[in-house]
Amino acid sequence: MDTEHVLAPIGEARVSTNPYRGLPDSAFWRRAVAIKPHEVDPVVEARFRIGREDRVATAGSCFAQHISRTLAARGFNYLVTEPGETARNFGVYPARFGNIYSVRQLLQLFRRAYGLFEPVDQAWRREDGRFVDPFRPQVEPSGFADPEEVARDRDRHLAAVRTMFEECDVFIFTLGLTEAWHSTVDGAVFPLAPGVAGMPDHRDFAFHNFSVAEMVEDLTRFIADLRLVNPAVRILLTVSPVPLIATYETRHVLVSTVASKAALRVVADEITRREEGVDYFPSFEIITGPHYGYRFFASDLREVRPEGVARVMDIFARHYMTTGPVERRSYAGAAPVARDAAEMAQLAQVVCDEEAIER
Amino acid sequence: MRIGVVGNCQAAGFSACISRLRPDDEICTVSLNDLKPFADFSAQMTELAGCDLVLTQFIDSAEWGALRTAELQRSIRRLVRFPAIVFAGFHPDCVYLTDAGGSEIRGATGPYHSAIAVACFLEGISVQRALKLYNALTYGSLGYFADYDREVLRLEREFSTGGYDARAAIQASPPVFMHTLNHPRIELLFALAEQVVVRVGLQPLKATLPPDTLSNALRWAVHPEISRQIGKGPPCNFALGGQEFSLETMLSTAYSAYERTPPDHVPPSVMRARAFVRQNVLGHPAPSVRRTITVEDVRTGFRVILGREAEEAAIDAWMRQPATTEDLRQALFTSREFAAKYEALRAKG
Repeated sequence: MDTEHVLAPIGEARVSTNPYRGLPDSAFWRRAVAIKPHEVDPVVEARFRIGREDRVATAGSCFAQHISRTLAARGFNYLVTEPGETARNFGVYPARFGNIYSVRQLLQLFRRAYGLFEPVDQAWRREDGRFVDPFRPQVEPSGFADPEEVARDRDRHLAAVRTMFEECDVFIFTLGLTEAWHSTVDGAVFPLAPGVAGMPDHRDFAFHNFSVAEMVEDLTRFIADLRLVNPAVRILLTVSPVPLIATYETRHVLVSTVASKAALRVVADEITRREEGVDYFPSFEIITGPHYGYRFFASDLREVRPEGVARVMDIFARHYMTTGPVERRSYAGAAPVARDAAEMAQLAQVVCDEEAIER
Repeated sequence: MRIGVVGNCQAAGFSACISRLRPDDEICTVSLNDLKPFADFSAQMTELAGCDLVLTQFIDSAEWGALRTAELQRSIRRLVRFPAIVFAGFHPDCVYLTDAGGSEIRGATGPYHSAIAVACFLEGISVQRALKLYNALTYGSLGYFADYDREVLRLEREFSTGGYDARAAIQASPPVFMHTLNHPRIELLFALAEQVVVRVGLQPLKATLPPDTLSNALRWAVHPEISRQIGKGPPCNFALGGQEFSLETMLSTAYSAYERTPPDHVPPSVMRARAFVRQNVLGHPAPSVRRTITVEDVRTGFRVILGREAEEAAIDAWMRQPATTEDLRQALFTSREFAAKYEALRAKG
């Protein structure tokens, strides 16, 4: 530890004390973790609150589904912009985008929704001859009849995605994976490896394990863009506690899991430290912390038991949910100028000849 | 009392409002829309000279000669200025364009153009792809959401220099108080006219609105995303003569107009939209409809593939359509002429 750095701000006080004296219990492992498990609450102070009227949207890896399911049950105003049959995976998330495992996938969903990215891969054929959307291959259990049907459904879907981004008051994103498969043609990132659910008619895809730097850049870009369409949105980041089901790295899956989760956790930390209106909720720590001795996991040591989800949501509700007033403000930076003064002055000089139109 | 009104396309509606507020007064309207620039304005000047009061917008362009405000100040007994209303807050994407010679480019939407449409055309983005860029992210990136507040402040400054209150006039009008950049709704003109009447010391009558003469001209769309962000609505589609038309129709007709008359001189807002398209869209594959073919491409294609010079008519035909060199190559290789030459060559061995 850098003693000089720690002691410097204390000034006179360091003669009779140390910098940790007087810190709250939450700063000390013995008083905050090595206690009765149900008393461990790793949230010290929420940066913002969520009112019952706030429209809450969620996205992320499979753990995000637990959050979505329990939000409505606990009285939150869970936003659904693409309603439909539950059996066809409507309502799992606000729009039918399925799991979003990587930050790049989230950024690309946003860019696809706003017409900035049109991936080459538009539809993949399943083994049964039906087609899937490569970017949400499991949302339609019976698949689509042809690529045109995939495209039509995608247009509707992306409109719902835009509505979600523009209308949500709170956006909760669960970071899930660093390992992903992408197109070598245009960089499109797929949620599942080609062949898992549908197969492209080419071999132009490759494995990529995203670095912290790449993810920080992607998430920073996503937040900046999201704030352009929704300046007041509050963002809550979580990291999925669910281990990798498999790794494509040439190393043990446990090693890959720890590396991935550590990277994701660092990304959430970096972003939370630098971005206003963004908070981190420690569901990862609640589930995987040593205080519960891994008892929140099912026998496969991956699936989170309902008690674990309930514990996460209890703490979430305690710190974030409120029936009182909620501060709403814009987190956007200075807006660019659409027209400068000179251009406006020029416009004001226009003497139009509209009769030409009216004739 | 005889009141003269001098102004642009807003003069007729403004006069009608004054007439409702002062029904016993005689109103003499000089609308620049009805006049030709650099014409003889002596008839209008005679009319105005007989007025007890002349209300005028600020006019300083040389083409309007004696009707310029500085000239009127010398010749008119009582001259009072009122502001010409230009407001881009609802239509931040709307611009005027000129061609290489500096002449106004007119299309199906008259002199009005979409900065995004022009940018997409110039960058070779297809109509279908351009359509998808009319969304909140593009508008936010181009600063369109901030335009409303800035414009209200600007309008307030302009009104206040003449002793008028823009905010009060806006509050007396519907939330969306403009048809286009420079066509206010009649409610706003009426509110302004009331303020002008009071300012010149006359008593306005409680009156109903006259017909909105500008409502039959073009109505520029208020996009839903902009309406939502600025909190003013309802959003509306494009319309002309009361007939609505879609964004896609506006885009298609605009592209056709630009094919005929390339927009060479574009305002800064188009340059910004172009930079946005380049930076955010062209990094990824985008189908191009831009005419990439040149006269030299056509000449070379004919020489190499058909073994002869291209006729001028053929060159003209190719230059009139949006085509790429690949289109040219395909057309020449699949032509009957090429097939006949190929057969002849093969027969020769």
